[in-house]
Amino acid sequence: MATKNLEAALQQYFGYTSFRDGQKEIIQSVLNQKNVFAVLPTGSGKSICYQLPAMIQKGTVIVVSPLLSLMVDQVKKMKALGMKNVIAINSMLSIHTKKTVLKRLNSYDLIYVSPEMLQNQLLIEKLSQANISLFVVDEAHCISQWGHEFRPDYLRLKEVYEKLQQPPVLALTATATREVQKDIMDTLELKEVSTHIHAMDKPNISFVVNKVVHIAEKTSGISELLQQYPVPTMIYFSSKKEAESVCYELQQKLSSLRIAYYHGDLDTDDRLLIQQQFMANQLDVICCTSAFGMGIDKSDVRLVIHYHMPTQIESFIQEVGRAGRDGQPCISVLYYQDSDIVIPRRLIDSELPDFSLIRYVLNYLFTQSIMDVKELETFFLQVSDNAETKWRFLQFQLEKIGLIQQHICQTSMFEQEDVLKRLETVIYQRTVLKKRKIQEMLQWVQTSGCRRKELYKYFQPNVRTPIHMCCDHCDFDWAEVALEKRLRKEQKWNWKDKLAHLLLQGE
Amino acid sequence: MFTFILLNCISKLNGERTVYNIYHLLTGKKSTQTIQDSFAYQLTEYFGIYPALKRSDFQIEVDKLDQLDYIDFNKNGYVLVTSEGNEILAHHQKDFLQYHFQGMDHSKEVLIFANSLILFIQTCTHIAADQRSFIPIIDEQEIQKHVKNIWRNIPDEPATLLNQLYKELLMLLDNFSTSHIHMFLDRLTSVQKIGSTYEQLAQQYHLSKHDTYCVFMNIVYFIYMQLKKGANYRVLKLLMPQREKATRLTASAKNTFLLLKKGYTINQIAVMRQLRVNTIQDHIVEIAYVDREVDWSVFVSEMTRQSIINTTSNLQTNKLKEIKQSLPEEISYFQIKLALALKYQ
Repeated sequence: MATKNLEAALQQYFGYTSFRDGQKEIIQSVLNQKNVFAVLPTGSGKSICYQLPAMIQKGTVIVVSPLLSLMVDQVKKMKALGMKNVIAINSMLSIHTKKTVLKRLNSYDLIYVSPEMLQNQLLIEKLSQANISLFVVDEAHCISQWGHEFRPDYLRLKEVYEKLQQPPVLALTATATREVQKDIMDTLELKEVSTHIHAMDKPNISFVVNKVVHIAEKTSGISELLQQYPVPTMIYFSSKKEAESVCYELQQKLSSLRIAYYHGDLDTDDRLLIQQQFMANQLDVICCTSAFGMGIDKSDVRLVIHYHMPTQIESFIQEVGRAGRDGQPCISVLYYQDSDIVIPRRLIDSELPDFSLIRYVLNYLFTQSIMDVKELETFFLQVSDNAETKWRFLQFQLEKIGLIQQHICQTSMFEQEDVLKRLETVIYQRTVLKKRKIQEMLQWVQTSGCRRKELYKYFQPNVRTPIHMCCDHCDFDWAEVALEKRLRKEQKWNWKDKLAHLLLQGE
Repeated sequence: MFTFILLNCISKLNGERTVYNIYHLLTGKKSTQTIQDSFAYQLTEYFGIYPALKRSDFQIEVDKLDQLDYIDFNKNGYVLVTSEGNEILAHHQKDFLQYHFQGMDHSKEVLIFANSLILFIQTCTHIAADQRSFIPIIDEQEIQKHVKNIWRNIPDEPATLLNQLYKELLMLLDNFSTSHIHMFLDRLTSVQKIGSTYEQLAQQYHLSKHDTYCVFMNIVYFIYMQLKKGANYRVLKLLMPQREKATRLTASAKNTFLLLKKGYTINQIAVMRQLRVNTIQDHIVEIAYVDREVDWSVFVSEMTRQSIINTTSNLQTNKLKEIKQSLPEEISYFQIKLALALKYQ
């Protein structure tokens, strides 16, 4: 398709007049039927790279995406823009809907699927009969054992891809170290790949780390900062409880700012309201966990504060990536207190089962000769206090060695001690990897070098010159910060005027 | 408001039930016991008005009442209102006149109506302002379909609809206190602004998030009941859910009901369904609350029924054990429960 037409299509479907950095080259490669591997920073409009081809090409585009909420968000957005032939196939669909969808697969321009759903034989069969024009692996870093969000299900993608008669592939990710990049290509065995790696560094952000002696100084520091710079701000926490409690504290201290919290425990209604309030500038500050941000496309966030240090560099880059999407200067401020190191370690412990639990469960499995996986799951969740993440890990590992096949446990083929040893080894390796990730993050916090260079060194050899200030080890100076303050306008209405305003009467 | 509802429930339960019976009542648990209790203690209006209430949140509110010494627990663990609590209740007696909940009959429909109203206003104002792209603030498929359907079948221009809706709400809301109206309006989303969460409303109006939920729903119940009574509010009427009134029988009781109508006896049904006779009897009591057509005298004669009712009113209690002890031995618990149920038909 000629360049001009591409832009016209972009305008027609998405309402944008021009492409962002990198998008167009990727789309052109995709339209030329090439296998494409692309690293595009968060907020650079990754999804357009397959959504636009889905609209202008014949056939169906399959997008494998790991996050349910993200999928659903994307579908909603596309529908809101008038692209109706899109769907997300995931475990949330009712059986009835699934059946209808399967019958008319070919009528969709774009189908999002979760990696779990690709285990469904019927779906694979139907997909292999459909006319698939492009196979997209979104968040491709999940495929790598060395990636920060390894998803066991992603390893099965290759198999699925082969069954679909190998349509062109587009593997996309926002964050991949060079090590992970290689791993992705090797796992998918992609040949003749057109690679588009875009610089991850963000020239419009400045980095600051504030070390504090007492935990309480974090909140007081943040409060002073916001007092001085009442700008759209995100504050990241690694605990839901603290996101809430600090939010309340800030509300007390900063009555002129509108502050809310957001985490995975909010119900759907509240999540939608808070997200959209923030987008509509009805909120100034959001205290959130990493659950917030996926699919949030707010361009004028000026300040991203980390109340807690993330568990890895990749998450940190992704989170600060939500600042300054409009290219205007923005600041990342990370607070660190010596005992913070305990938190990420605790998070690791909550993700991987410990040896004694594994031993206990295997003993049960082998002595009771359990057959049904469901039964084992029930038992596991009972004794582990509903640790679902740990169960998924165990289930995958047992499937991988063939002990679980088609939801049946076949213990007779295995020695209990062997299985235990293998699991212990895997857990040990994963723990070592995760600790290494934390160590990298901690090194960045404690570095005396340039924070920008140190942060991006795992991803690319050089960084661009920052447009404003670099970091607290180079030239950063609060006195030089010029963030445009946002003034809050509030109107006092009587209820009749309020109702009239709400319903667009008499204006 | 939520506190008063709790106190009102506790007071009516007369020290004969635990707080969890209230939790089941508010969340609308479809169990024979909950449905029976809500009739026996005249709490049907609160049945199912707050299905999203979390158990932990409920416990916090109960603990608060306990700490304020408004409630107490007797040795069976049953909950009572203290004299302080009764004072509060008496003081706010006239507030209850402003409560419009009709949960037992309408909780499902009113929830659908509430969410449809929210989504309809968001849709209508966006389209009127020519902003066709927006993310629906109500995520439920059922509601989105409902509103879409309504939208398809309306011939009017969005501006006309909004003007009419404005007039209708102007009239209906005038029945409420200013602060309640403000909360109601703040909850709504339009092209002008995104609505507040109940928790945000609570902070703004210095109430609890349960209060603000109840304030909002109370207004919705009022509007809904006005429409039910035939008041002619053209636009609001469009938003009423079309579907049949959901029967309040549990699924299992429904199956028993089908067999009962075919003329099977309790024992036969128990054998056919492989359930205990007691269970089938519970189903029959459940049915007795909703169905007039069954010949109930097969299970409890008119005379027995009358003597049960008389005993109950003399004793001024709904405690089955006490009632049973005051009646001739041959009258069973099943007959007593049935007689009580038939009282509310």
